[in-house]
Amino acid sequence: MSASSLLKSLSDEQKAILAAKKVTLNRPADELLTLLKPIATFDTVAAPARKKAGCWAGALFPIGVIAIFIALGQEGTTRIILFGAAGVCLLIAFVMRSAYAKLKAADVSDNLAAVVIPFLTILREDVPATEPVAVDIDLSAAESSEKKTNTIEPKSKGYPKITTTFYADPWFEGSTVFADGTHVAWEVIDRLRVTKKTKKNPRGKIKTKTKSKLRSDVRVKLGFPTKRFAPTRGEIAADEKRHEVKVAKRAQGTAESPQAFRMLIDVIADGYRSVEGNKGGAR
Amino acid sequence: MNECTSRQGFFSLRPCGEPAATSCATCGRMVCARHLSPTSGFTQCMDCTARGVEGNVLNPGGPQPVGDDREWAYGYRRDYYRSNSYAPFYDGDGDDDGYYDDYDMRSFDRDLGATGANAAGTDADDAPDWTDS
Repeated sequence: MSASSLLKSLSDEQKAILAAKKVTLNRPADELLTLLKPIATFDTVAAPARKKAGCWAGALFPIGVIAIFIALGQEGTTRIILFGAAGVCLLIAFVMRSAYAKLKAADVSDNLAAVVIPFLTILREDVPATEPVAVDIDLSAAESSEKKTNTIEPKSKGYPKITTTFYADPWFEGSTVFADGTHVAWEVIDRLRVTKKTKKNPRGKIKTKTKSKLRSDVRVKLGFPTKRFAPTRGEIAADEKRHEVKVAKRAQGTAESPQAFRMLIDVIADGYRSVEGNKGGAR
Repeated sequence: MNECTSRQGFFSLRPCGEPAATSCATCGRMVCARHLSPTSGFTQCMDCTARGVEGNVLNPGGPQPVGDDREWAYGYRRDYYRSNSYAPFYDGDGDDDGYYDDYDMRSFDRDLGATGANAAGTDADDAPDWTDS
């Protein structure tokens, strides 16, 4: 299925999510997956289609312009053929540019397909079918001005010029209650460092390279019911109802292969490792 | 009526409890329609498919659910337990047929564990607290 037909097949609510790039919902995991999976599928299919459309638009527009200039220097049939070819090139470039713009506007973060969908798929197994899962997901790009936290400008005016920009993207929060009575709340913050280095070679040619480094911070709070769970270590805070366990993890990844899904699973599993079945009664 | 013998969950396992639809062609356990694997043509349970009893058809290593996402979750669960030495809790009766022996499950105290609130998956007796949405 093509990206445009997938886009057309989305419901109004799904299209609204694509436009807003934000999801704030409190629904059962099955319903969340039914809503979000088609968006993730569209995003996955649209990424290469968008790139292709951008490349075609970028290539055909200058060819069309060059063909016009060549045609102006010709006469007769050649001129007509070249004008026709230029027109076709510019028309296709325009169509491709429009398709690119449309797909770009509907682009959401790859975190939806790489992190949110698999995480909700696993959570669905632990959450009763009717229990809602509260999620707050920001699917906009991490490199946006409102997420910028700091910029270090080049110290001198000469080359190389190095500009480092830092972004903080708290993009995924949520909470739910597992079938075993455990309350779980999670938060994922991506911290992105983008370094832009501009160099001038001996021939005077200026080149710019951009490197980015992603660090994900995952924090999970688990509230284990004391009726069923007892801490294996003494340091877990406990009241009459719950043992509270906080687990955090930090890992480096890339925008192409985010680590947050595996980190979320690992930190919840670590929380579960810190408790045992309560065989001694409620504390 | 026979109940589905599949175990649902990831961090804590529990019996599925749905009415069984048929028996798995590989292990012979009774399973409900939801726990039949589409990859096997609905002849095998999801656990048998995850075990790769008749060919390793799943890709549990990848984070992206492939094909049927519930089937992917069962494959991922098995792979995760094995590669991370994770021992899930189990909220149910003993494992009579030994099918899940390799999961090395931890148990709750049954006398304390099987409360109505927990069985329903909610904490009805609790006042709202920090995890309540």
